[in-house]
Amino acid sequence: MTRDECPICLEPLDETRSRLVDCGHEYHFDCIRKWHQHSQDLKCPTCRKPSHYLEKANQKVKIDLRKCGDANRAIVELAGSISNLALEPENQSRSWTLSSLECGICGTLDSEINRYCTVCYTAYHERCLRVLQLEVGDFCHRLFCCNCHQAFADSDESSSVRSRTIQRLDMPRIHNQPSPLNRGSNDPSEIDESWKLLSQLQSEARLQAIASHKRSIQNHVRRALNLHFFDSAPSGCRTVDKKQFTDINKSVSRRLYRMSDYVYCPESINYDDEARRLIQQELSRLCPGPCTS
Amino acid sequence: MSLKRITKELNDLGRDPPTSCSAGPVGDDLYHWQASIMGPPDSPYAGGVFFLSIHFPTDYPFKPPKISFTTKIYHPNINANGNICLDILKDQWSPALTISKVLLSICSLLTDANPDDPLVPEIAHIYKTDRSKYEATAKEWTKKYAV
Repeated sequence: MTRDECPICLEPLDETRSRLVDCGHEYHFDCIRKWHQHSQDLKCPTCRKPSHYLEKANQKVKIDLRKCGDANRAIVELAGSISNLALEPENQSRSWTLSSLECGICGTLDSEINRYCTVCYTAYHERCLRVLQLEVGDFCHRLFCCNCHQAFADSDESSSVRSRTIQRLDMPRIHNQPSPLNRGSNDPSEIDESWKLLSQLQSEARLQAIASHKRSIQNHVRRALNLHFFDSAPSGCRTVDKKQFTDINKSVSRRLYRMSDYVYCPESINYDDEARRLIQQELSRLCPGPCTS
Repeated sequence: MSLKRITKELNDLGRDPPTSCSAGPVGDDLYHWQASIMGPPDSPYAGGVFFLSIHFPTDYPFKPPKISFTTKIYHPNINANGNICLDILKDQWSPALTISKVLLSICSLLTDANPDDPLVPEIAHIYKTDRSKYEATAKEWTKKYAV
Protein backbone atom coordinates (compact mmCIF):
# COMPACT_ATOMS: atom_id res chain seq x y z
CA MET A 1 0.00 0.00 0.00
CA THR A 2 1.38 3.38 -0.90
CA ARG A 3 1.07 6.43 1.33
CA ASP A 4 -1.58 8.04 -0.82
CA GLU A 5 -3.98 5.14 -0.93
CA CYS A 6 -7.07 4.86 1.22
CA PRO A 7 -6.47 1.73 3.35
CA ILE A 8 -10.15 0.82 3.13
CA CYS A 9 -10.95 0.95 -0.57
CA LEU A 10 -7.31 0.88 -1.79
CA GLU A 11 -8.11 3.73 -4.20
CA PRO A 12 -6.02 6.93 -4.37
CA LEU A 13 -6.86 9.56 -1.78
CA ASP A 14 -8.37 12.70 -3.32
CA GLU A 15 -9.92 15.90 -2.03
CA THR A 16 -12.46 13.84 -0.06
CA ARG A 17 -9.67 12.59 2.19
CA SER A 18 -10.04 12.93 5.94
CA ARG A 19 -7.63 12.44 8.82
CA LEU A 20 -8.12 10.84 12.20
CA VAL A 21 -6.78 13.53 14.46
CA ASP A 22 -5.34 11.30 17.19
CA CYS A 23 -3.19 9.05 15.01
CA GLY A 24 -3.01 10.98 11.73
CA HIS A 25 -4.07 8.09 9.48
CA GLU A 26 -5.96 9.19 6.38
CA TYR A 27 -9.01 7.69 4.68
CA HIS A 28 -11.70 8.80 2.27
CA PHE A 29 -14.33 10.50 4.40
CA ASP A 30 -17.07 8.13 3.15
CA CYS A 31 -14.91 5.04 3.72
CA ILE A 32 -14.03 5.77 7.34
CA ARG A 33 -17.59 6.87 8.16
CA LYS A 34 -18.93 3.67 6.67
CA TRP A 35 -16.50 1.71 8.83
CA HIS A 36 -17.61 3.60 11.92
CA GLN A 37 -21.16 2.55 11.13
CA HIS A 38 -20.09 -1.10 10.92
CA SER A 39 -17.78 -1.19 13.93
CA GLN A 40 -18.96 -0.56 17.42
CA ASP A 41 -15.84 1.35 18.41
CA LEU A 42 -13.91 4.28 17.00
CA LYS A 43 -10.52 2.63 16.60
CA CYS A 44 -8.34 3.47 13.63
CA PRO A 45 -8.45 0.55 11.14
CA THR A 46 -4.71 0.85 10.59
CA CYS A 47 -3.26 1.27 14.10
CA ARG A 48 -6.29 0.46 16.27
CA LYS A 49 -5.72 3.59 18.31
CA PRO A 50 -9.04 5.07 19.48
CA SER A 51 -9.70 8.28 17.52
CA HIS A 52 -12.46 10.57 18.55
CA TYR A 53 -11.97 13.35 16.04
CA LEU A 54 -12.01 13.30 12.27
CA GLU A 55 -10.77 16.22 10.18
CA LYS A 56 -11.86 16.78 6.59
CA ALA A 57 -8.93 17.82 4.39
CA ASN A 58 -10.73 20.41 2.25
CA GLN A 59 -12.61 22.03 5.13
CA LYS A 60 -11.15 22.83 8.49
CA VAL A 61 -13.97 21.00 10.20
CA LYS A 62 -13.32 18.74 13.13
CA ILE A 63 -16.03 16.16 13.65
CA ASP A 64 -16.61 14.72 17.10
CA LEU A 65 -17.10 11.07 16.26
CA ARG A 66 -18.58 10.19 19.65
CA LYS A 67 -21.48 12.58 19.12
CA CYS A 68 -21.93 11.68 15.47
CA GLY A 69 -21.60 8.00 16.26
CA ASP A 70 -24.78 7.87 18.31
CA ALA A 71 -26.73 9.96 15.82
CA ASN A 72 -25.43 7.90 12.94
CA ARG A 73 -26.34 4.62 14.55
CA ALA A 74 -29.83 5.90 15.21
CA ILE A 75 -30.17 6.96 11.56
CA VAL A 76 -28.87 3.62 10.30
CA GLU A 77 -31.27 1.71 12.55
CA LEU A 78 -34.17 3.88 11.44
CA ALA A 79 -33.24 3.51 7.78
CA GLY A 80 -33.08 -0.25 8.26
CA SER A 81 -36.53 -0.45 9.80
CA ILE A 82 -38.01 1.86 7.15
CA SER A 83 -36.62 -0.27 4.32
CA ASN A 84 -38.05 -3.35 6.05
CA LEU A 85 -41.44 -1.69 6.25
CA ALA A 86 -41.30 -0.65 2.63
CA LEU A 87 -40.29 -4.06 1.35
CA GLU A 88 -43.03 -6.07 3.00
CA PRO A 89 -46.14 -4.72 1.27
CA GLU A 90 -44.34 -4.51 -2.07
CA ASN A 91 -43.58 -8.22 -1.94
CA GLN A 92 -47.15 -9.07 -1.02
CA SER A 93 -48.74 -6.97 -3.72
CA ARG A 94 -46.67 -8.42 -6.55
CA SER A 95 -48.62 -10.49 -9.01
CA TRP A 96 -49.04 -10.95 -12.73
CA THR A 97 -49.50 -7.55 -14.33
CA LEU A 98 -49.31 -6.49 -17.95
CA SER A 99 -45.67 -5.49 -17.56
CA SER A 100 -44.86 -8.78 -15.88
CA LEU A 101 -46.12 -10.51 -19.02
CA GLU A 102 -43.28 -8.98 -21.00
CA CYS A 103 -40.02 -10.85 -21.41
CA GLY A 104 -37.83 -9.75 -18.50
CA ILE A 105 -34.79 -9.64 -20.78
CA CYS A 106 -35.82 -8.29 -24.18
CA GLY A 107 -39.00 -6.54 -23.04
CA THR A 108 -41.13 -7.94 -25.85
CA LEU A 109 -44.67 -9.07 -25.14
CA ASP A 110 -45.53 -11.87 -27.53
CA SER A 111 -46.83 -15.39 -27.69
CA GLU A 112 -43.33 -16.84 -27.73
CA ILE A 113 -42.84 -16.15 -24.02
CA ASN A 114 -42.47 -19.61 -22.59
CA ARG A 115 -40.80 -19.28 -19.19
CA TYR A 116 -42.51 -17.89 -16.14
CA CYS A 117 -40.96 -17.32 -12.73
CA THR A 118 -43.67 -17.90 -10.14
CA VAL A 119 -41.51 -16.51 -7.33
CA CYS A 120 -40.95 -12.96 -8.57
CA TYR A 121 -43.55 -12.92 -11.37
CA THR A 122 -41.27 -12.36 -14.31
CA ALA A 123 -41.76 -13.76 -17.79
CA TYR A 124 -39.01 -14.73 -20.22
CA HIS A 125 -38.35 -16.14 -23.63
CA GLU A 126 -36.38 -19.31 -23.07
CA ARG A 127 -34.10 -18.24 -25.92
CA CYS A 128 -33.33 -14.92 -24.14
CA LEU A 129 -32.42 -16.82 -20.96
CA ARG A 130 -30.21 -19.22 -22.94
CA VAL A 131 -28.43 -16.37 -24.71
CA LEU A 132 -27.84 -14.66 -21.38
CA GLN A 133 -26.56 -17.93 -19.92
CA LEU A 134 -24.06 -18.22 -22.77
CA GLU A 135 -22.98 -14.62 -22.35
CA VAL A 136 -22.18 -15.11 -18.68
CA GLY A 137 -20.48 -18.44 -19.39
CA ASP A 138 -22.98 -20.61 -17.53
CA PHE A 139 -23.34 -23.89 -19.41
CA CYS A 140 -25.69 -25.44 -16.93
CA HIS A 141 -28.70 -27.24 -18.40
CA ARG A 142 -31.15 -25.75 -15.91
CA LEU A 143 -32.52 -22.26 -16.37
CA PHE A 144 -32.67 -19.69 -13.61
CA CYS A 145 -34.76 -16.57 -13.26
CA CYS A 146 -32.32 -13.72 -13.78
CA ASN A 147 -34.35 -11.57 -11.40
CA CYS A 148 -34.60 -13.76 -8.30
CA HIS A 149 -32.28 -16.64 -9.34
CA GLN A 150 -34.96 -19.24 -8.70
CA ALA A 151 -34.52 -22.32 -10.87
CA PHE A 152 -37.29 -23.05 -13.34
CA ALA A 153 -38.80 -26.49 -12.95
CA ASP A 154 -38.33 -28.52 -16.11
CA SER A 155 -41.75 -28.89 -17.64
CA ASP A 156 -43.12 -32.27 -18.69
CA GLU A 157 -45.64 -32.97 -21.39
CA SER A 158 -48.95 -33.72 -19.73
CA SER A 159 -52.37 -34.16 -21.24
CA SER A 160 -54.16 -32.99 -18.11
CA VAL A 161 -52.27 -29.73 -18.25
CA ARG A 162 -53.28 -29.36 -21.86
CA SER A 163 -56.97 -29.77 -21.15
CA ARG A 164 -56.82 -27.43 -18.17
CA THR A 165 -55.08 -24.86 -20.32
CA ILE A 166 -57.69 -25.09 -23.03
CA GLN A 167 -60.41 -24.53 -20.44
CA ARG A 168 -58.57 -21.48 -19.26
CA LEU A 169 -58.04 -20.14 -22.74
CA ASP A 170 -61.74 -20.55 -23.46
CA MET A 171 -62.73 -18.41 -20.50
CA PRO A 172 -63.97 -14.99 -21.58
CA ARG A 173 -61.32 -12.31 -21.30
CA ILE A 174 -62.63 -8.99 -20.08
CA HIS A 175 -60.53 -5.95 -19.41
CA ASN A 176 -59.88 -5.06 -15.77
CA GLN A 177 -60.65 -8.60 -14.79
CA PRO A 178 -57.91 -10.78 -13.39
CA SER A 179 -56.10 -12.60 -16.13
CA PRO A 180 -56.91 -16.30 -16.33
CA LEU A 181 -53.27 -16.88 -15.40
CA ASN A 182 -53.98 -15.30 -12.04
CA ARG A 183 -56.30 -18.07 -11.13
CA GLY A 184 -53.90 -20.78 -12.16
CA SER A 185 -51.94 -22.76 -9.69
CA ASN A 186 -48.43 -21.75 -8.81
CA ASP A 187 -47.02 -24.86 -10.39
CA PRO A 188 -44.32 -23.40 -12.65
CA SER A 189 -44.34 -26.37 -15.01
CA GLU A 190 -48.03 -25.86 -15.61
CA ILE A 191 -47.60 -22.20 -16.44
CA ASP A 192 -44.63 -22.99 -18.66
CA GLU A 193 -46.81 -25.53 -20.38
CA SER A 194 -49.63 -23.03 -20.79
CA TRP A 195 -47.40 -20.59 -22.55
CA LYS A 196 -46.01 -23.26 -24.85
CA LEU A 197 -49.51 -24.36 -25.70
CA LEU A 198 -50.78 -20.84 -26.17
CA SER A 199 -48.13 -20.05 -28.74
CA GLN A 200 -48.76 -23.40 -30.44
CA LEU A 201 -52.48 -22.71 -30.64
CA GLN A 202 -51.88 -19.26 -32.03
CA SER A 203 -49.57 -20.44 -34.78
CA GLU A 204 -52.02 -23.24 -35.60
CA ALA A 205 -54.85 -20.74 -35.83
CA ARG A 206 -52.76 -18.53 -38.10
CA LEU A 207 -51.99 -21.43 -40.43
CA GLN A 208 -55.64 -22.48 -40.46
CA ALA A 209 -56.79 -18.99 -41.37
CA ILE A 210 -54.36 -18.85 -44.29
CA ALA A 211 -55.47 -22.29 -45.45
CA SER A 212 -59.13 -21.32 -45.50
CA HIS A 213 -58.39 -18.17 -47.52
CA LYS A 214 -56.40 -20.27 -49.97
CA ARG A 215 -59.23 -22.76 -50.29
CA SER A 216 -61.77 -20.03 -51.14
CA ILE A 217 -59.50 -18.59 -53.84
CA GLN A 218 -58.77 -22.01 -55.26
CA ASN A 219 -62.51 -22.73 -55.67
CA HIS A 220 -62.71 -19.94 -58.23
CA VAL A 221 -59.67 -21.21 -60.10
CA ARG A 222 -61.03 -24.74 -60.19
CA ARG A 223 -64.39 -23.55 -61.49
CA ALA A 224 -62.77 -21.53 -64.24
CA LEU A 225 -60.32 -24.25 -65.11
CA ASN A 226 -62.98 -26.93 -65.25
CA LEU A 227 -64.33 -25.22 -68.37
CA HIS A 228 -61.13 -26.24 -70.11
CA PHE A 229 -60.85 -29.74 -68.70
CA PHE A 230 -61.65 -32.31 -71.36
CA ASP A 231 -65.08 -33.77 -70.63
CA SER A 232 -66.68 -30.70 -69.14
CA ALA A 233 -65.15 -28.39 -71.72
CA PRO A 234 -67.70 -26.64 -73.90
CA SER A 235 -66.93 -26.93 -77.57
CA GLY A 236 -64.41 -24.46 -78.86
CA CYS A 237 -62.38 -24.31 -75.69
CA ARG A 238 -58.92 -25.81 -75.56
CA THR A 239 -58.87 -28.99 -73.55
CA VAL A 240 -56.07 -29.71 -71.14
CA ASP A 241 -54.84 -32.96 -69.68
CA LYS A 242 -54.63 -33.81 -66.01
CA LYS A 243 -51.02 -32.72 -65.56
CA GLN A 244 -51.63 -29.40 -67.29
CA PHE A 245 -54.72 -28.90 -65.16
CA THR A 246 -52.69 -29.36 -61.97
CA ASP A 247 -49.89 -27.08 -63.16
CA ILE A 248 -52.20 -24.30 -64.26
CA ASN A 249 -54.26 -24.62 -61.10
CA LYS A 250 -51.13 -24.28 -59.01
CA SER A 251 -49.58 -21.32 -60.76
CA VAL A 252 -52.85 -19.37 -61.21
CA SER A 253 -53.84 -19.95 -57.57
CA ARG A 254 -50.42 -18.80 -56.42
CA ARG A 255 -50.68 -15.61 -58.42
CA LEU A 256 -54.13 -14.94 -57.01
CA TYR A 257 -52.92 -15.51 -53.42
CA ARG A 258 -50.20 -12.96 -53.95
CA MET A 259 -52.56 -10.56 -55.70
CA SER A 260 -54.91 -10.63 -52.68
CA ASP A 261 -52.12 -10.81 -50.10
CA TYR A 262 -53.25 -14.24 -48.86
CA VAL A 263 -56.59 -12.89 -47.70
CA TYR A 264 -59.74 -13.85 -49.60
CA CYS A 265 -61.49 -10.59 -50.46
CA PRO A 266 -64.24 -11.14 -53.03
CA GLU A 267 -65.41 -7.52 -52.50
CA SER A 268 -62.36 -6.02 -54.14
CA ILE A 269 -61.25 -8.73 -56.52
CA ASN A 270 -63.41 -10.52 -59.07
CA TYR A 271 -61.77 -13.92 -58.65
CA ASP A 272 -63.71 -15.56 -61.50
CA ASP A 273 -62.61 -12.92 -64.04
CA GLU A 274 -59.04 -12.88 -62.78
CA ALA A 275 -58.85 -16.68 -62.81
CA ARG A 276 -60.14 -16.82 -66.39
CA ARG A 277 -57.67 -14.16 -67.53
CA LEU A 278 -54.70 -15.89 -65.88
CA ILE A 279 -55.73 -19.29 -67.19
CA GLN A 280 -55.80 -17.87 -70.73
CA GLN A 281 -52.29 -16.55 -70.17
CA GLU A 282 -51.10 -19.93 -68.95
CA LEU A 283 -52.75 -21.73 -71.86
CA SER A 284 -51.17 -19.49 -74.46
CA ARG A 285 -47.79 -20.01 -72.77
CA LEU A 286 -48.26 -23.81 -72.69
CA CYS A 287 -49.29 -24.23 -76.30
CA PRO A 288 -48.61 -21.18 -78.45
CA GLY A 289 -51.13 -20.56 -81.14
CA PRO A 290 -54.56 -19.02 -81.37
CA CYS A 291 -56.89 -20.01 -78.62
CA THR A 292 -60.46 -20.00 -79.61
CA SER A 293 -62.70 -19.04 -76.85
CA MET B 1 -17.27 -1.12 -3.19
CA SER B 2 -16.58 -4.82 -2.48
CA LEU B 3 -16.02 -5.96 -6.07
CA LYS B 4 -13.69 -3.07 -6.84
CA ARG B 5 -11.65 -3.67 -3.74
CA ILE B 6 -11.46 -7.46 -4.36
CA THR B 7 -10.27 -6.80 -7.93
CA LYS B 8 -7.71 -4.36 -6.59
CA GLU B 9 -6.40 -6.93 -4.13
CA LEU B 10 -6.19 -9.52 -6.90
CA ASN B 11 -4.12 -7.12 -9.01
CA ASP B 12 -1.86 -6.29 -6.09
CA LEU B 13 -1.33 -10.00 -5.37
CA GLY B 14 -0.33 -10.52 -9.00
CA ARG B 15 2.02 -7.53 -9.02
CA ASP B 16 3.68 -8.24 -5.71
CA PRO B 17 3.02 -11.87 -4.71
CA PRO B 18 3.80 -12.64 -1.06
CA THR B 19 6.36 -15.34 -0.39
CA SER B 20 4.99 -18.62 0.96
CA CYS B 21 1.37 -18.02 -0.01
CA SER B 22 -0.82 -17.47 -3.06
CA ALA B 23 -4.49 -16.71 -3.66
CA GLY B 24 -6.93 -16.18 -6.50
CA PRO B 25 -10.52 -16.75 -7.63
CA VAL B 26 -11.68 -20.34 -8.07
CA GLY B 27 -13.71 -19.73 -11.22
CA ASP B 28 -15.59 -16.75 -12.57
CA ASP B 29 -16.87 -15.82 -9.14
CA LEU B 30 -14.62 -13.09 -7.77
CA TYR B 31 -16.19 -13.54 -4.33
CA HIS B 32 -14.86 -17.09 -3.98
CA TRP B 33 -11.12 -17.61 -3.88
CA GLN B 34 -8.73 -20.41 -3.15
CA ALA B 35 -5.46 -19.81 -1.34
CA SER B 36 -2.42 -21.89 -0.52
CA ILE B 37 0.06 -21.54 2.29
CA MET B 38 3.47 -23.23 2.48
CA GLY B 39 4.10 -24.71 5.90
CA PRO B 40 6.56 -22.37 7.68
CA PRO B 41 10.10 -23.85 7.77
CA ASP B 42 10.41 -23.40 11.55
CA SER B 43 7.22 -25.34 12.27
CA PRO B 44 6.06 -28.96 12.19
CA TYR B 45 4.10 -28.04 9.06
CA ALA B 46 7.30 -27.48 7.01
CA GLY B 47 7.21 -29.10 3.59
CA GLY B 48 3.41 -29.13 3.41
CA VAL B 49 1.18 -27.07 1.18
CA PHE B 50 -2.13 -26.16 2.79
CA PHE B 51 -5.15 -25.07 0.80
CA LEU B 52 -7.78 -22.67 2.06
CA SER B 53 -11.08 -21.45 0.71
CA ILE B 54 -12.00 -17.77 0.94
CA HIS B 55 -15.51 -16.37 0.66
CA PHE B 56 -15.90 -12.60 0.54
CA PRO B 57 -19.08 -11.09 1.98
CA THR B 58 -20.86 -8.54 -0.21
CA ASP B 59 -20.04 -5.81 2.30
CA TYR B 60 -16.32 -6.58 2.25
CA PRO B 61 -14.06 -4.95 3.51
CA PHE B 62 -16.43 -3.81 6.24
CA LYS B 63 -17.06 -7.45 7.16
CA PRO B 64 -14.26 -10.03 7.34
CA PRO B 65 -13.83 -12.70 4.65
CA LYS B 66 -14.75 -16.28 5.61
CA ILE B 67 -11.57 -18.32 5.46
CA SER B 68 -11.20 -22.02 6.20
CA PHE B 69 -8.61 -24.74 5.60
CA THR B 70 -9.57 -27.35 3.02
CA THR B 71 -6.44 -29.38 3.80
CA LYS B 72 -6.56 -31.32 7.08
CA ILE B 73 -4.21 -29.86 9.65
CA TYR B 74 -3.32 -30.71 13.28
CA HIS B 75 -3.40 -27.39 15.12
CA PRO B 76 -4.98 -26.17 18.39
CA ASN B 77 -6.70 -23.23 16.62
CA ILE B 78 -7.97 -25.09 13.53
CA ASN B 79 -10.69 -27.71 13.82
CA ALA B 80 -11.62 -30.76 11.73
CA ASN B 81 -13.85 -28.62 9.46
CA GLY B 82 -10.94 -26.32 8.74
CA ASN B 83 -12.41 -23.43 10.74
CA ILE B 84 -9.77 -21.07 12.04
CA CYS B 85 -9.90 -19.40 15.42
CA LEU B 86 -8.22 -16.11 14.69
CA ASP B 87 -9.31 -12.81 16.20
CA ILE B 88 -8.71 -10.74 13.05
CA LEU B 89 -11.21 -12.95 11.18
CA LYS B 90 -13.84 -12.13 13.81
CA ASP B 91 -14.16 -9.21 16.21
CA GLN B 92 -10.70 -7.82 15.52
CA TRP B 93 -11.28 -7.50 11.79
CA SER B 94 -10.22 -4.19 10.26
CA PRO B 95 -11.02 -2.94 6.76
CA ALA B 96 -7.36 -2.01 6.40
CA LEU B 97 -6.51 -5.74 6.38
CA THR B 98 -6.11 -7.47 3.04
CA ILE B 99 -6.13 -11.14 2.05
CA SER B 100 -2.38 -10.97 1.75
CA LYS B 101 -2.04 -9.72 5.33
CA VAL B 102 -4.56 -12.23 6.64
CA LEU B 103 -2.70 -15.11 4.97
CA LEU B 104 0.54 -13.92 6.58
CA SER B 105 -1.23 -13.88 9.95
CA ILE B 106 -2.39 -17.44 9.35
CA CYS B 107 1.24 -18.35 8.56
CA SER B 108 2.34 -16.95 11.89
CA LEU B 109 -0.50 -18.79 13.60
CA LEU B 110 1.01 -22.00 12.19
CA THR B 111 4.39 -21.09 13.70
CA ASP B 112 2.98 -19.82 16.98
CA ALA B 113 -0.23 -21.48 18.00
CA ASN B 114 -2.41 -19.83 20.60
CA PRO B 115 -3.29 -22.65 23.02
CA ASP B 116 -4.94 -20.25 25.46
CA ASP B 117 -7.78 -19.59 23.01
CA PRO B 118 -8.14 -23.02 21.46
CA LEU B 119 -10.69 -24.30 18.98
CA VAL B 120 -9.68 -27.92 19.65
CA PRO B 121 -9.04 -28.18 23.41
CA GLU B 122 -7.55 -31.71 23.12
CA ILE B 123 -4.80 -30.53 20.79
CA ALA B 124 -4.26 -27.44 22.94
CA HIS B 125 -3.83 -29.67 26.00
CA ILE B 126 -1.20 -31.84 24.28
CA TYR B 127 0.48 -28.68 22.94
CA LYS B 128 0.84 -27.37 26.48
CA THR B 129 1.76 -30.61 28.25
CA ASP B 130 3.70 -32.64 25.69
CA ARG B 131 5.09 -30.39 22.97
CA SER B 132 7.13 -33.15 21.30
CA LYS B 133 4.04 -35.33 20.91
CA TYR B 134 2.15 -32.39 19.39
CA GLU B 135 5.00 -31.74 16.94
CA ALA B 136 5.23 -35.41 15.97
CA THR B 137 1.50 -35.64 15.27
CA ALA B 138 1.49 -32.33 13.37
CA LYS B 139 4.41 -33.56 11.23
CA GLU B 140 2.66 -36.87 10.62
CA TRP B 141 -0.55 -35.13 9.50
CA THR B 142 1.43 -32.77 7.27
CA LYS B 143 3.13 -35.73 5.58
CA LYS B 144 -0.20 -37.56 5.25
CA TYR B 145 -2.45 -34.72 4.01
CA ALA B 146 -0.32 -31.81 2.81
CA VAL B 147 2.60 -33.24 0.88
